[in-house]
Amino acid sequence: MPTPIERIRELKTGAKNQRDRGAKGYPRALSMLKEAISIAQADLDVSTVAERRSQLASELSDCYGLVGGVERRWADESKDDERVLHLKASIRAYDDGFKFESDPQYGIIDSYNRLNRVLVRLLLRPDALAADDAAVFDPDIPPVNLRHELEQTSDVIRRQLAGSRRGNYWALADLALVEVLLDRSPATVAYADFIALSPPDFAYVSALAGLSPLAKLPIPSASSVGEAVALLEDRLNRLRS
Amino acid sequence: MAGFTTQQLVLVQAGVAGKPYDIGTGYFVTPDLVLTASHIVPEQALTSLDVRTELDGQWHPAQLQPVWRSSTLDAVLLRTLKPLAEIPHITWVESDFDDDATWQSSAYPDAGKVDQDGKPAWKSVGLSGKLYAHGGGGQGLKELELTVEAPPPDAEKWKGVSGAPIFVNEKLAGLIKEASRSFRGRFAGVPATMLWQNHGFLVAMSPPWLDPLPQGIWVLVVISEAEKQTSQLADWVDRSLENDDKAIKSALRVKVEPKALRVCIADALESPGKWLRFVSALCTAPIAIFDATGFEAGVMLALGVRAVVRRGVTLTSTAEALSPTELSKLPFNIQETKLLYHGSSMYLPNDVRHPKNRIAAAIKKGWQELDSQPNYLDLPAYDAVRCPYPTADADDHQSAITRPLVLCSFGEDHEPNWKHLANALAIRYDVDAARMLDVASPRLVGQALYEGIRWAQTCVVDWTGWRANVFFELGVRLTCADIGPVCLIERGAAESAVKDDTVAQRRQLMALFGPTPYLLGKGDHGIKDALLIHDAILNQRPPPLAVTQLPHDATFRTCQDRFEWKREHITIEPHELLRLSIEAPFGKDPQAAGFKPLLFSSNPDYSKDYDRSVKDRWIAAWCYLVQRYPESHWEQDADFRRTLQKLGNDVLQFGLKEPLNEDHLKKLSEQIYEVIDKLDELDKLDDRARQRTVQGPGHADAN
Repeated sequence: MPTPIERIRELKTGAKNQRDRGAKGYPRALSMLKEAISIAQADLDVSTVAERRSQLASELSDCYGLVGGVERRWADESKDDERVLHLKASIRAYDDGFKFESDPQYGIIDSYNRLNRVLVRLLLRPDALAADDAAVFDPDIPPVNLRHELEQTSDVIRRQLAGSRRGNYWALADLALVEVLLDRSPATVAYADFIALSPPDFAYVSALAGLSPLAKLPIPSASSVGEAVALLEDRLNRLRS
Repeated sequence: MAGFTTQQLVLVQAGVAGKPYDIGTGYFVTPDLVLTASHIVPEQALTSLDVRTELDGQWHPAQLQPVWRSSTLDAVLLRTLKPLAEIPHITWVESDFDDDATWQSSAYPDAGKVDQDGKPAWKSVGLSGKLYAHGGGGQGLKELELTVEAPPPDAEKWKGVSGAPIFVNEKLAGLIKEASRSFRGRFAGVPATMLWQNHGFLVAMSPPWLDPLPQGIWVLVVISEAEKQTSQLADWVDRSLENDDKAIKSALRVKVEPKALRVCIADALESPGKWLRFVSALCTAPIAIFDATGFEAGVMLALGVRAVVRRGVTLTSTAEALSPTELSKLPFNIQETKLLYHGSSMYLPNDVRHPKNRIAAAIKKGWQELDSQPNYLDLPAYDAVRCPYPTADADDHQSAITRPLVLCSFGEDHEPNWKHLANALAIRYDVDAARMLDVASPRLVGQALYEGIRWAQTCVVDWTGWRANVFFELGVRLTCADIGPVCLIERGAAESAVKDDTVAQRRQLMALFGPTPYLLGKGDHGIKDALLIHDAILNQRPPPLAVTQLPHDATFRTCQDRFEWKREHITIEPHELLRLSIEAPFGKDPQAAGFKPLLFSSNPDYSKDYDRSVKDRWIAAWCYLVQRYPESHWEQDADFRRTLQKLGNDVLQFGLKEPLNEDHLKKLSEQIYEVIDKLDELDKLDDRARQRTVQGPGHADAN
């Protein structure tokens, strides 16, 4: 019998595969992640060992992030109300993941949910990037000032990169995306450190999955985002040639 | 000396379904162990096993599974369910016979069988004759050659005599195994000296100790002799297991036995049986902690054994806080290990450096690393002795096989001993003996040393100086070679060890391993005598030993029986081996880490190529497992389905990640998805079938 952590990881991998199947696999991916979340939450509720609690919280943060990712992709393939429904489900999942990710008691050093909870809000309200106010959605979705949140995210990732995430290609990809989105750097400059690490192909695929929908949005940095997409696609093709 | 007594003589009756009883003779050699011939106790289909004591005619049932058996020797030890109250002490013959001798016994041959109310009854028949000192040799195993007075006319009538004890001058010399068909009135016997050369017999004959060993995850603490009364190591271990119970369970993923098994090294060295039982514990203990305070010879010997038989977790600890200068002077084999400190006086209990905190942390960390790193080691030697047979230089006179290897002190004060020994060996061997210092190979000392210890036909160990390194290496040799070492000690050092009242273990080690004393200078025969014994061992004629001495290969054979072979890499299934080869460097989820752990992995060409290799390994693992068994097996075995499904998911995620740019890989990816869906369906069918079984038959017609 696998341990709870092993079972959670198996379910996560299975869910990623179902997600990669496209629309056919989304329901199964979500049900697998739901099972993983329930195992992790049940274990966290009874665990008193700090190390174990951190491990479980990290798994929960990751599982919620995966749910957010599945819902976002589902939204990409949907239209109108259904798209909105899936994007809101995605925001809720990333927000849930962010609760664990940002809780200091668990000591999780990551930026996955922090960044994506902003990006999905942006997909739903592209105008909010230039607005001074917080973007408001449903009552159960906390309002967030997107530009301010992205600037904060940039600061947080920079601190992480100076510390335990030094040389982490996920962190570098997240930071580059924020820099491009805020129009602070051209794509080649923003992604230089990421590319210099010769990251594996799946890191390119994942970075592109985050960038591509943003390139279609009516936002001031759309062309920079488009350049970033072209740059990463070119690199990925070279890697796979 | 009691000699032969009828109190200990038994008729052995073994029942096999549908066949007449097998009858033989046996003899109680301890209050609950009967020695008899193996061939009268069938190995299979045994339904009953009883012995009838000659003295009172009572039947005593015995365990169907013998406690020890050697079909080669034709001897077996049976354990009766109820021991006899007391039996006289047996004195065993411990040497070969120089002259012919008279032997005596009693047995239950068919010749003595009578009819009692239509049923057979066996009368005991007294036996005596001559034991030929110069017979029973030649090819094959050494036997006792016996004549017997008043033999029956038909050799078949001897049936039932097998297993009878052979007494010479009140000492047990062996047991009868068969009547000769070629010579009328002659028997072949199993010499007692051969029995005592067998490690299994030694253990079976020794009183229970460390028996049974704990199951599951448990901790063995080996306490040094000097620290026996004062060592706090075991107390701190128990305290750690108790205090950090949850954290350790969380890290190890299983519960650990709350109390450590404590063994003082001086207790383990008391007798051959105890040593071998201790060796079993060294083989099986998932976690072992050694008190290396003072680097006692016995503790170092045990560490050497442990280093070969088990890939962790082994912690080494000392009660003396060592300064960096002292650490640099540690024995070579210990310098590589992470030495813990278990003296408590230096730190407050809440200090992370306090032993109760350090030990728990070391157990957790060690176990996690053992679990995640296939090549985890916390002692030297394990991988090094698993080196292949050095065929490259097998014909070379300087090869690790033919060159006598000498393990000894490298100190200046030992130089005269080395010269003396090297010259004595030069007389006997064509190839010059070598210490590690003298080996020309540029290889790492550790690699060359352990290869030599494993494969050298002649490994000489000079105990003089009682060096910690030498005893660690002796432990390694005893464990990894079926030809024991030639143990030597300078006579002065041997006499001091025997006289010294303060350290029992040196006396014990001398008694157990019997190093041959040698004299520096002219007139020394010690080394020559020791090499003659070694030659006899090489010729498979090991000379008899005192029952208090350990046979040259007993440690090796015990380890061979008891080591955890399931942990050896060679037993791993191909798909698991491929998985491990990826997970060792990249972890169980290579996507999670966010960095590439391989050295120089940012080199784009290298990165691209190893990425291809990793993906191909995933594909190879899948192709193997999916083809290995027929699909009907998938339906029957839920565990296999889980393994295949997990592998399929890992291959899709880490080996065949979309988008794929080769058509046949796309096809393979689709096939894996199909198999995963099929396995899902089979799981659902299984669940439904299980639910139906739990619910029982429907209740439609209940009314």
